[in-house]
Amino acid sequence: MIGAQFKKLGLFIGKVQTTLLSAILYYFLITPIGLIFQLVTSIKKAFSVKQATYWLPREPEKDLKDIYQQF
Amino acid sequence: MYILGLSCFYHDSAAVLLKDGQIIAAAQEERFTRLKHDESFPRQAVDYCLKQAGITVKDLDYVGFYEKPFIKFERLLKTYLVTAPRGLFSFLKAMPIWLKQKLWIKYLIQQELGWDKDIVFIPHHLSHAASVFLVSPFKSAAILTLDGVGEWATATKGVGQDNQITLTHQLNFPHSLGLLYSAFTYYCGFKVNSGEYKLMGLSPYGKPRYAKLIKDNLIDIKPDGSFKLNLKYFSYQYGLKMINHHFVNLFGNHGVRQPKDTLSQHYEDVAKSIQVVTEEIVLKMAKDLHQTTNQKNLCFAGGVALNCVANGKIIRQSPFKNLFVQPAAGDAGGALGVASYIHYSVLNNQRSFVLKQPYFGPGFTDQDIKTFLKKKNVSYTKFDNQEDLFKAAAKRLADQRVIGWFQGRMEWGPRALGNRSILADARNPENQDRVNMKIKFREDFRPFAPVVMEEHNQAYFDIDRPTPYMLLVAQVKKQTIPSVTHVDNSARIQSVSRSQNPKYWGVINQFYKQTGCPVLINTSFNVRGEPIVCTPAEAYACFMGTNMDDCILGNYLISKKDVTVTKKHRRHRQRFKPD
Repeated sequence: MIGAQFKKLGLFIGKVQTTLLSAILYYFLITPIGLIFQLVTSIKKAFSVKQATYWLPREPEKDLKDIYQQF
Repeated sequence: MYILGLSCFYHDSAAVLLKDGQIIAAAQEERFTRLKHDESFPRQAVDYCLKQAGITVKDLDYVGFYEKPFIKFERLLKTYLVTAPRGLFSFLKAMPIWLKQKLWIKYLIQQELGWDKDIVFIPHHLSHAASVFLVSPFKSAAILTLDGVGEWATATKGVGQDNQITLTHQLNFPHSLGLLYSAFTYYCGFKVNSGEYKLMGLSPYGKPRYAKLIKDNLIDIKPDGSFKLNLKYFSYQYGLKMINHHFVNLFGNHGVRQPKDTLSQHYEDVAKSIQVVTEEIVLKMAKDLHQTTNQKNLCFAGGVALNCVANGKIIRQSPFKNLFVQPAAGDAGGALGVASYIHYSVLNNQRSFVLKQPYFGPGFTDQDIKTFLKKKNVSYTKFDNQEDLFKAAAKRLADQRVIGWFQGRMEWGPRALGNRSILADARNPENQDRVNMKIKFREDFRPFAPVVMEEHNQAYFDIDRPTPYMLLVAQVKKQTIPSVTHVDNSARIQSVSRSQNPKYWGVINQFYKQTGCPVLINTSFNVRGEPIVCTPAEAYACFMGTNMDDCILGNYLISKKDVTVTKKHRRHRQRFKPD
């Protein structure tokens, strides 16, 4: 009974900890890099009247050893 | 050679087992866990596949996963960079799952299976493409895939030739037709990744008066069907919701519909408008693909390929002579795709399999059913002669009784196609409301689909080909089947031939002999929010918890009048969260 309550408490603390660490990661790493990234890269948000197509060429499937890669 | 294909950890997890390129077993995990769209590792689906083949994990030659997780993670991170600082809540939700689970997919699969060899990973849209082309009847075909998102791609196109697939172009996230449709699904008060087919069912009630507004503001469509979304209106890239206030304001002061609110004309018009835009995009893509590939066959996959109204437009208005969509066109189908790709494209085996029927799930013998009924102490009638069974079932249907029809192996894909179905008389206009409200307990606007004997397909519907997987919509020619005729005179047809499913065809044939009508209502054997029943026990529980009149399990008939329905039985539907 007490063990189960400790487990619940442990899970709760774990969740709080994960959320806090993720928030720190987001605000202190992702956000600064992201803002710089947004400054240096021009993200084309507008529709392009001149462009004939939005299809992008797709790289051919790579050689066979790549099938075991997760990337 | 045995190959296991897996799709999981997003939605609709599934497992497929191939033996020498032939499908031995295929099933979605939701049917076992009883959680609709279950995304967890398909433990029970895998166990079922192995049991069906009579093998263990040690006998497998390859295990494949339907996408490349690290590329997906890269997309996620880059999206957070581009949208910072607005993506905090999405980041807090997604990151722990990725760090604890999704980045370790390879090891998770190895651990779950007890498999110590490597795992094959192929791109998400290649899985979709393989899931349709490599089991299609075509030697060569143009291929189109459209869904929410895989790694980066949201749409791809290319060509399949013999056992090889070449996808030449793609559209990238966040520009996604699947996500655009889901955004409208959310706006109209339905669940994302689940209620899209409700939006499609709602659309015939409306007028496309917002189509121009959508095309002027939300999406730019090129003549070849490629498109770009105006991201100002969407928040799915960084938030927990699909759309933002700009989107809501664009459609006036109606706001996002809440699931319990009544459906006003506004939402019906919105549904029709996005449906029309979707059809325009799909049709433009198909026409362009035909022009650039010069193929006469089209293979179409991805969640958008389940939009059977758009599919109907392809067969009527595109130059393609043939269209093939496999029944599990959504993400579950990725499991079939990766397994087929390994067998045919990677190992360079000759094509040797054509998907001609969808019955790859668990099956139960008459002995299994009898044992269950005895255990439950249920009175039943057993039919030793199949024709007698068909006659009895048809007579009951003609007497306006609604029947649960449980036969053979369960269907692969989201539709019940005659082995886990509820059947009723399509001629009776009252049956739509009756089955919707008293049996399925679902929204009253939702139409029912007809099943028709293949030989009568063209007499009843404006269609020139069989449609065995209920993936085409066409106009109804006869006015005699009102309960399966939608407000725009259309129907989502399933045709069935004797060779495909002799028992299903047999009962409709008997109904035809008795009434002159070769069409029935076919809807899935479940209540709202419940995955389609898999076992006799689940079929019995569903039968007892609803107002179904009879249930036929194999050759056993159970009638409501012979059983005692308790309050506990009646609570069946409360076990499932409405979808």
